[in-house]
Parts: sequence; structure tokens; C-alpha cells
Amino acid sequence: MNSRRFCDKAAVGMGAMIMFISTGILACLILATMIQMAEVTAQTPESIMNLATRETADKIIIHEIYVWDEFDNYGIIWELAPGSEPKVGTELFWILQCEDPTGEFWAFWGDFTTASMDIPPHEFSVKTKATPGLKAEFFNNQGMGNTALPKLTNRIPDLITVENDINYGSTAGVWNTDNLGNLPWGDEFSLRASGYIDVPADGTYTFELESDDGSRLWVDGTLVVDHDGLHGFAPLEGKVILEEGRNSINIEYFENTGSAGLVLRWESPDFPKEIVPRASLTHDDNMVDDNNMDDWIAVTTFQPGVVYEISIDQKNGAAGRNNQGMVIPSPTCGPTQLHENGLEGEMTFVVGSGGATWTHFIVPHETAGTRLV
Amino acid sequence: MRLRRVPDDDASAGISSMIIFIALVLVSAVVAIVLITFGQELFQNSSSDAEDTSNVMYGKIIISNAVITAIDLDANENPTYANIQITLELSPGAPTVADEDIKWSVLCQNENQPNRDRWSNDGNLEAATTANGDGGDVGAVDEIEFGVVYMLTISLHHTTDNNNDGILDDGGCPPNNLETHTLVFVIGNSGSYTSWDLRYDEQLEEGEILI
Repeated sequence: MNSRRFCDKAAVGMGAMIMFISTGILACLILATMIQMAEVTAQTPESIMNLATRETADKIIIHEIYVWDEFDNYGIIWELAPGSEPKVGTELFWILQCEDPTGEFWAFWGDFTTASMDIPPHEFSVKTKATPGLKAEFFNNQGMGNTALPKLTNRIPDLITVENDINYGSTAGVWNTDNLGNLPWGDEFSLRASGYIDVPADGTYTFELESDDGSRLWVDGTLVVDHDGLHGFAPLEGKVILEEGRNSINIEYFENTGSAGLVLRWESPDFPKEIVPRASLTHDDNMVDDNNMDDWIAVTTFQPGVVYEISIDQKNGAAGRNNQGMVIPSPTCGPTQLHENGLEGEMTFVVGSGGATWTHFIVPHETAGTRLV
Repeated sequence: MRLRRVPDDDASAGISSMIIFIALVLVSAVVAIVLITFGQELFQNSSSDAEDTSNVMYGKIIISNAVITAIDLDANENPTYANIQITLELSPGAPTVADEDIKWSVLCQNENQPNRDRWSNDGNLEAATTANGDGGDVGAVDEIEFGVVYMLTISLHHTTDNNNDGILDDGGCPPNNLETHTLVFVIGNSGSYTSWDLRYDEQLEEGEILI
């Protein structure tokens, strides 16, 4: 009886041990599986990211290719792909390829240093010529009977010119403009003048609009003088804090009937009240001449996230050569050649130890500024 | 009297249970550590990926519409002046920007070759309004922020006086039939650039959608 009881306990113990070992093995298996799954889970996005990075980083993103000049050069606006390491000009290369009308294949190439460019590589920005005077747009309001400044946003101006300053003394006749001569209307018209004012130093400036009838003045986007409504020739002042340099200026004016006048003056603690002179007023006029190197700061190391502009030059591009190694005349793949012969060009941009980007293009017009890509 | 030590089965079972419990806790801890480590790696990868993406997205302008709201034609039906109303917003992730710090430029070919200046009309977003406005109010908004749709009316016209008669009749980028001009937005001086094609067809008229 005792012996039997002892055997039962041994069996229970053995069973428990087997269960324990089984549970342990099962736990190990589950653990191993989980670790493996976690590894796979971690490695999959990592490997996808690596693949994606390899596909995208260290490549050149082309924003625009345009005709730099009709003879032989192309302008490129580009940036390094996100994730790229900074590159110097000798690590980046361009290749320009085309066929001539006889079917001969030509290639030109160079790096991203100034030696292979028409002008030094530089950061792209919207740079315009600061032409003296304000852009002045006159609107015919005949028959409108305005009693306050009319909305001009979606109207077409009847006359566009450039005015040296805003200095129209009150007159019952017609205004005499700086460049257009007499206005065709003495009554019922509007003026919208816009551009920039060069502020000599940081500080508080007082602006005065003397007008008949209503007018408004914004400087640096701030409404400084609100002199709207029907009234005689009377001044109104406003103050604004400005930083040194170019600040935007916008004026709107309307004349209903009777005499008309508009004068813009300013003063600061550094100078007495005066009519804002022509020397302090400018407006935008086309993009800066790309030939003027003083306008650009040469870049030798290119960072991702910054947009650059280059002008690839067939003449300087390590000498153009065809497949036979012959030195060829430089403008073979130039805009005029491609345009006149209806040929396609192809550009490839290579990042040393990175990837390549290529695009093909046609030249619809060979004139400077024509966008190709 | 000699005492006989009798095995206590209940105690053995308790000890075994404790051993199994401790073993399970240890295994759980190891599994947790492994999972946390991989989780960290995943987060780090995502973070670096997000930073790269942020570089791409930062400061981009999304244009949802560009329509001609007014156009003036000369005797030969060639446009000389056009107002284009643009509906735009900042890309996700872009920080708030002062309206005057966003510049636009429409670029087109210089018809007076070989002078290499690119012809353009230019401006900033000072006149931008929210979608309720017409895109032509200098005082409407001071900042451009993500999540808000803005309107901006730009004027495209000649910018230079070619024959000194006081009339601007050259340069600039008024629409030209069958040409494609480039609309560029730049935030700050450089670094964030968005460009769009303004495609002009043969007979331009008000209401025509360009993008």
C-alpha cells in the first residue's frame, strides 16, 4: 500500500518535470520566434530605408533647365537630394549629349566648378534689377462717382508707367507725369503706385500723404496713413518703425471731381520733412543680368536643402568630344542647333560615389530664359 | 527515537511553481528588453526619415488653382496685361512665414536675345488674403501659416520702356499665346523653391485655368 502510494507520487513528480521541461522548451521556441520576428520587423523598414536612401540620396534633383544663351549654354536650377552628404564641385558632374543632323553622336561634360560654367555656381534666389522710381498704374474711373478708394485688384490699368516720385501738387487741370506727359483725365481716376523705399537706418519714420481726394499708404505691409474719402487737398501723417534697407511701399489714390493732388513726404530724426526723393524709390524690373558676377556669390561646397543655379558651358566642359574622341565645335548641342534642327538633347547629372539623374529635352525656342524642363 | 524525515510534496510543488514563475519573469524581461531595443531603433529610423522628409517639405508652396481674372489684349490679340488669381497654401510641416518673406516671380524668355537677362514679373505675398478675399489687400494678413488657404492676385505685364515714351512696353512676362512660363515661389533668399508651369493656350480669356 505504501509502495503504491510512493510510486504515484514519483509518477506525479516525473509528470510535473516533463511538463516543466516541455513548458521551458515551448517558451524557448516562442521566445526565439518572437526575437526573430522582432528582428525581421526592425530590419525590414531599415532595409527599405537603406534601399530608398540609396535610391534618393546623393542624387541631383533638377528643378528647371532653361536656355542660358542661344549659342551654347544652359541654365540649371537644382538641389542635392535630401539625405545627401555635402559635395564639392569636383564630386558633381554634368554630361550634355545630342545627335547632330547627320546622326553623329556628341557629348560634352564637366564638373560643377567655375571652370565648367559660364559664371560661378551660386545659390538661386529671385534677384531683380532695382530700377529707380515707382511703378505707377493709372485707372480710368469715368462715370463711377467714387466717394472712397475703389477696389483695383482685378482691374486692368489704363496706363502703366514709372514715376520718379509722388509729387502732384493740387490742380484743377490734369496731372503732368514724369514720363507719360499729361494724364488724359482731370477727374475720376485712380492711381496705384508700388515698389520699394530705401530706408537709410533703423528707426521711426513719419510719412505724410497730402491728397485730394482719398489716399492710403502702406510701408513694409503696414497701413501707415489712411486718408480715404472725399476731401480737399490736406495732409495726414503716420509713423512706422522700419529697418534699414529695402522696404515695400504701396500707395492707392483716387480723384472724384474738382481739384486733384497727391504728395508723399517723409521725415526722421536724421532729416527734415521732404518729398520722398527718386533716389530712395525703386521697383522690380526683370531678373538680374546673369553675366554680372558681382550679383552672385560663388559656391564651392553644395549642401542638401539649398537650391543652386549653374550655367553649364560646352566650351569649358573638358572639351566636347564624340565617341571617336574627336574634339568638336562647342555649340553642337547648343539651343540654336537643337531648335533649328528639331533635335533632342539629353542631360545627365552624376554625383561621384552616388547616383545619376538624367533627362531629355527639346528646345521650342532658343531665346534666353526659355524653359526646357 | 529516531525521527524520520518525510518529504513534503506540497512544499516541493510550491518551490517548483516559484522556479517556473521566476523563469517566466526572466524570460519576459529578456523579451521586453529585446522588443524595447528594436522599438527604439524603429523610432530612431523614423525620426531620421522624418528629418529628411522635413527638408524636402519645408517651405514649399502648394498651388491648387491659378486662373486668369482679367486680361488685356492689343490690336493683334496678343496679351499685354493679365491678372492671375492664385489659390495657395504652405506645405505641411512648414513654419509660419511673414508674408513679405515669400517672393514670387514669373520667369519667361527674353525676346531681345542675346541680352541674357531673364525677363520676369516679381512680387511678394503682402497682398495675399485668406480664401474669403480676392488676393489683393496689402493689410489683410501679415503671416502665412500652414493649414490656411490663401488667395494672391498677381499682375503680369511689361516692365521696361523700350522707346522712352513713358509706356512700359517691353520686358516682363505678360502671357504669350502657346508659351509656358515659370511661376516660382522662394521663401527667404534661397533654399526653398517651388516652381509651377503657367501654360498658355492659343486664345487666352478670363476664367482660364493655367495650372
